[in-house]
Amino acid sequence: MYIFSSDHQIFLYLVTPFSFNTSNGRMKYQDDNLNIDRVLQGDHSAYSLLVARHYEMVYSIAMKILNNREDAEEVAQDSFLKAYRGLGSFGRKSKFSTWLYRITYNTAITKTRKKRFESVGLDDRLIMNYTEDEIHSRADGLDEQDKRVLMERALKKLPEEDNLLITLFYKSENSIEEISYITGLSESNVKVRLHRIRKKLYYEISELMKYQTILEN
Amino acid sequence: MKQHFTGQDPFLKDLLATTPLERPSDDFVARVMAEVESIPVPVPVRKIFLIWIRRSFPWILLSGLILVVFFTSDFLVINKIPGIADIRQLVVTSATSFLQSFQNIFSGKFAFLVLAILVSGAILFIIERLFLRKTTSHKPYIL
Repeated sequence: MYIFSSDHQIFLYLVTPFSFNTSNGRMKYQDDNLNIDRVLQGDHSAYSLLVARHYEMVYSIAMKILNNREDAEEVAQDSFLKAYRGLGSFGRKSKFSTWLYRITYNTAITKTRKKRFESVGLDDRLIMNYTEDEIHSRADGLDEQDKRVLMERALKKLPEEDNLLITLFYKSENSIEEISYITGLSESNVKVRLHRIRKKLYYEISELMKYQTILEN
Repeated sequence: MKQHFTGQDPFLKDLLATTPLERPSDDFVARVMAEVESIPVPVPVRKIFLIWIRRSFPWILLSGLILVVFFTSDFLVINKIPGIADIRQLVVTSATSFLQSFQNIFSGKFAFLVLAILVSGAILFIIERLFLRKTTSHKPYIL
């Protein structure tokens, strides 16, 4: 959490009701806006706080689309520079992070010359070896390291685009509306895809657990 | 059957929290900032418009003055423009009704009260701008 010595900003914290909510989301959102104000007032260094806060997610988005470290780093850097140049026209209708992720997504897509996400229908023909409840109780018995390995392996089985959507939704805690803005997909399509990916992820976890059970026996 | 995606899945969320995000090289932030420092500070779009207005204000004023002189003078050339008398009449009528609307505002029943509030507001705004507002260029410190 950053606190600024300016009386003005302390005043802002006091008069804005939701600034009392110190749970990460809104506080980050406010901090980002304060840092943007400082950049627009000519303080270059404030931008480093924005970069430091978002570079991991920006890099992850680029990496999930490009699957190449050097290209992803180049795209992440380009995205931050584009965002800096366009900061004056950023209307704050969305969160800074959402706007930045959209820039990153578009830059990465342009770099790969890949097709954007395509609309998909729902396909639930995945038969799990365990029910969701069984998976929950089995996973509870695993330690942090095993859970991490399990999840990493399951995520590797997903296509990169699905991996990106699930990261944006569960890890970065973007809403359906924000993911729709970042990727250009309709909200209903984001929902359909996330529903399908969730099923797929459970299926992969179930398969990995089955494999583990065979090894144990 | 229509399926509704609620999105709430604490199990997946917790499991995903155990996997770290990918990280670029260690000097990534420094490299971005080195590039950023060579780019001019971005200017808010609203400010660009205000700057444009401020810069072009003398020219707008001058153009207006020339137009007024041109249309109200008695040059021979101007009088040859077809319909000039109607244009003059229109300009005079519009200007008169515009000024009369001001007269109505100031002669209204609550005009004094409104003016007093506006003037007080303007004075407070000027005091705030000139004496109380501080810059935000102080270095942040991290808790």
